[in-house]
Amino acid sequence: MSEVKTEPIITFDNVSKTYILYKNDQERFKALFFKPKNPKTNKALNGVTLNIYPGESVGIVGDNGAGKSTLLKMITGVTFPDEGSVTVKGKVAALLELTAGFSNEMTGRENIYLKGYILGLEDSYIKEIEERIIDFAQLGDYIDQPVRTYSSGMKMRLGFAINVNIEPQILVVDEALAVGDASFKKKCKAKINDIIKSGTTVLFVSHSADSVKEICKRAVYLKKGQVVFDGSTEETLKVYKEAKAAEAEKKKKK
Amino acid sequence: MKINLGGPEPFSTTFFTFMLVGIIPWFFIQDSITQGAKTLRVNRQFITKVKFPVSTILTYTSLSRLFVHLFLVLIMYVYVYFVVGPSWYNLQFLFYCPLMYLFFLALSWSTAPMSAFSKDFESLIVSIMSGVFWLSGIMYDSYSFDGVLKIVMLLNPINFFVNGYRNCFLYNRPFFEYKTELVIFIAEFIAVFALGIFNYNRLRKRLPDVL
Repeated sequence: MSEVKTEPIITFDNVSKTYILYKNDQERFKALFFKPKNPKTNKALNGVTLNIYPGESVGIVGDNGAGKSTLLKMITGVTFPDEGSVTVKGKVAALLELTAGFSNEMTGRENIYLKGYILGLEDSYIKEIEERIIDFAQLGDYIDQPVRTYSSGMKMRLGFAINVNIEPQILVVDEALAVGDASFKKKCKAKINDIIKSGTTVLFVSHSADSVKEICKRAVYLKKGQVVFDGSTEETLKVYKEAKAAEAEKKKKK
Repeated sequence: MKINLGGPEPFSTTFFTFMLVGIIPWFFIQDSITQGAKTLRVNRQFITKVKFPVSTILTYTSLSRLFVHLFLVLIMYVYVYFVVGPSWYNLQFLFYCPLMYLFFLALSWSTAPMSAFSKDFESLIVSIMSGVFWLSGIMYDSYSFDGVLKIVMLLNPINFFVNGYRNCFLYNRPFFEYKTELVIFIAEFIAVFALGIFNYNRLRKRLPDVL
């Protein structure tokens, strides 16, 4: 054995999740008390078993509706599986909902602390990283102005700055992250690369094969809530490409 | 205004004083019920976007309402001190107030997740509040009824607190004197508490999907 077998940092054990689609508010209300009869459902995740080890950089590819967001929400602890279990050992920073958890009346600086508390960080730790975050976000004097005076770009920059600087064990990146101007984008990419090199486990969600190849050694191909393929980036992307080509053929024949 | 408390003579006070002491807890109760139900929806970003201990949302929003209430009670007490006079029975406030806070917090454990599911439910709660106001013995003496109305008064927990505050600050009456009222309230408290725990636990995991 060339590697020591370590404990996985993220474990999905036969996880399933079904979203129930209610016709209207009345049905939803009734569903509080009675089980709905034959409701429309969307099985977002269907028996997903996955192990991610510390330090890996894993890409998650799949079309829209494959279950990627649901998977990520379970990793960040926002939502819960209907069946099976999800175990995450470590602090997760998600570059997903960048502006979530902001209080509009508080200043940018105060929001750094607020976000820090939400992520479970200690006061002393936040003080340490505060300057780094302020530097990174490049907001100038606006850091001491209430967040409601910020443009949406500024809010995203602050959110991004906070999430990348908290030294998480797990970093989740959604590729559809276009924040700020070209120079800020470059800074972001460089920072993400630094984080990857420092041994943080990284989960990278993408539609684009090229970005995944750049960053990840391993990739998981998700389709309709199931793990279709899990292996090296090259192999997985091949399978993905072939599957898409096959689908395009089917559509033509129709 | 004369209120019959079962003693040799009816208790006498101005209508304004009678109403004031009764309406102060109502302000807290009304906000607690309506805003308590809305609070999960209002704070939806903490439920759907980040990992956050959701039960604390109900607690800290309730605490901020309590804070405002305590301030109002202080102002009311200044009035009561000079118009009615202080008494040792005022200390019963330390019995009624925490109980009121806990009762309506436990109620929000049921109403908040349910309102998060259904906006209609939330509107329902808001719309019955004005009716509930008139059934809560604030503008009149609830002890003066008989028959069905008396039963309704006894079963209304808001009425328990409104009269409780009057027991403290006006009537100089111990809380255990009217035993029927107290026993009914304790039963309701246990029921609301149990239902709250049951509903919250049942619905918590479905909240991020539904908000």
